[in-house]
Amino acid sequence: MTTESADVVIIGGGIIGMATAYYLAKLGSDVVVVEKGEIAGGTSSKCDGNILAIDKEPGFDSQMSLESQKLVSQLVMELDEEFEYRAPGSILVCESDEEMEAAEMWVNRQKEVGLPFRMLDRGEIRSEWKYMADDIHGGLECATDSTVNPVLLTYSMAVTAERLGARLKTHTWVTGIRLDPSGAVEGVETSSGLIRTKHVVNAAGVWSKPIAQMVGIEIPVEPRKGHILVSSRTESIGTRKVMEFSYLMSKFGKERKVDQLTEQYGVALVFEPTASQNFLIGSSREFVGFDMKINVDVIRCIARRAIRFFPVMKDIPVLRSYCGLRPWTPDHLPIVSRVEEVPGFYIAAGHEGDGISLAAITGKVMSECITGQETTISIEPLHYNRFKKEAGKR
Amino acid sequence: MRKSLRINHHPLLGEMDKKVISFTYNGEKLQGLEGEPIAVALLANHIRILRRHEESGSARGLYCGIGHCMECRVELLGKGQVRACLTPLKEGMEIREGSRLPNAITGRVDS
Ligand SMILES: Cc1cc2nc3c(=O)[nH]c(=O)nc-3n(C[C@H](O)[C@H](O)[C@H](O)COP(=O)(O)OP(=O)(O)OC[C@H]3O[C@@H](n4cnc5c(N)ncnc54)[C@H](O)[C@@H]3O)c2cc1C
Repeated sequence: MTTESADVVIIGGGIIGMATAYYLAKLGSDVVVVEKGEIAGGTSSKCDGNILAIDKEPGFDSQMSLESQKLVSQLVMELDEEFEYRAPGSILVCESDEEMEAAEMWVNRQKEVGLPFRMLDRGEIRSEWKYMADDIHGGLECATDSTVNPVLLTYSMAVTAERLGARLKTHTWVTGIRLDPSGAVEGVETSSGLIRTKHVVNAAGVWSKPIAQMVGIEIPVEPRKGHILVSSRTESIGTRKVMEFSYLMSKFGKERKVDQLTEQYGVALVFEPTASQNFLIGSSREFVGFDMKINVDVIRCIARRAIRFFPVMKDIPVLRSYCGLRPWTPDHLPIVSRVEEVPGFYIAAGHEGDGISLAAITGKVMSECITGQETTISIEPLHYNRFKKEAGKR
Repeated sequence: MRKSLRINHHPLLGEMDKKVISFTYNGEKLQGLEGEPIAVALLANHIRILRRHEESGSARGLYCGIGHCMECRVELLGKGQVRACLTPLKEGMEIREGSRLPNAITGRVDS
């Protein structure tokens, strides 16, 4: 057992922890990352790589995504390794006139705040997507949406942070957080000894709740499972993201018109082509605890949904499938916050289905918050206080 | 004539008396036994290359033989990609080796 010290200790070597480490190291902080497994071994390697504004409400939600998109485009120059970044835009497709009407309202709301959204008619869809089902009514596009390989981005931030002086301790568990008599952070206890520090960032994703409990804080972060199918290499079906509009219908107070299993497993099409000549097909949304077993019924349901939009997929083999746990919060926004009751304790967790999109902005504002600078965007709406009354409720 | 690779009399499995049928591979007319895996029929015809890697173009063949590794994917007319090790041979099948493909995302077009 050894004792070392650091300006900041980050708990969790996922994309959020590594982004925080990178931006802090860039500001000259002495950073240690403590990760119980491998870098990106948690949810950050069991996901898609979408950096999306297309599905965000205009306002704070979309501003945060757009800022992060900008930062990621800069990371292409700043980081030491490539991470399959592209910004081809993304599209949502509609199955009915009712969805087309809602899509039009969505596009108009986005255009009002100056975002590069537009409707796509049947003809435009047809000419870009020769394999899309004939009965798709049309869709909409957000021209700036981008994509990355999330594992490569996490590793690229990790190696760059290391070059800037950060220390990464993998296969090391955080077992406790030591507070001084005034209740402020004074160290982090790990499976390989104590690290003295005045600042701790809880970036433990779906595992952030037990970390917060170590200092007596309750945060309502729960695992929300998602499955993804990996196709074999094949002739290109398309080069950018396609999602179905129907899963946004709830934002318009309308019900989705899908079969019972699709509803039960929360299945909605996400088509993500990759640089490896294949594509990923998602996804599902379920609250089933920390169970990481593949459920073949869910896989079948996702495949059925994908074939509904791309009939050609019935003849393309699936190589494998995987699942991950999204760090869900009740209002679907992350917690990016200092904790006033425990001076020196910070939370950067609960990014649910947007942790890849929001990693850059989260790391940046965390680094600014810890070093006492003004944050790039206001993080008041992300304060953990907003859950104080309803902690635990779903 | 090359030496046959088939075992016709097996001490435990007995006689191989399956029906001989015709199929094509890359346009070439070949014969195999009905119901045997495509990979086996091709091997009996001394064909070991089942696919060119879609990115690098390097040759690929039978690897695990039990449907797990996905290395033996061939193009079966009317069916798309199938695993040669798992797909039973039928009369008249038109099969092609899996080919190198352009990469629409990285922009690589050479073949
Ligand atoms: C199917 C699916 C698809 C998704 N698609 C997208 C997408 O397209 N775009 C997008 O933006 N987001 C997407 N997401 C969400 C995104 O993957 C997550 O929001 C993000 O990965 C969370 O990152 P994180 O760093 O908070 O968590 P993690 O990557 O899980 O990192 C937390 C780390 O903390 C470590 N840890 C936990 N406890 C301890 C301890 N006691 N001591 C030390 N270390 C500890 C864990 O080992 C883990 O590595 C998707 C998620 C899923 C499941």
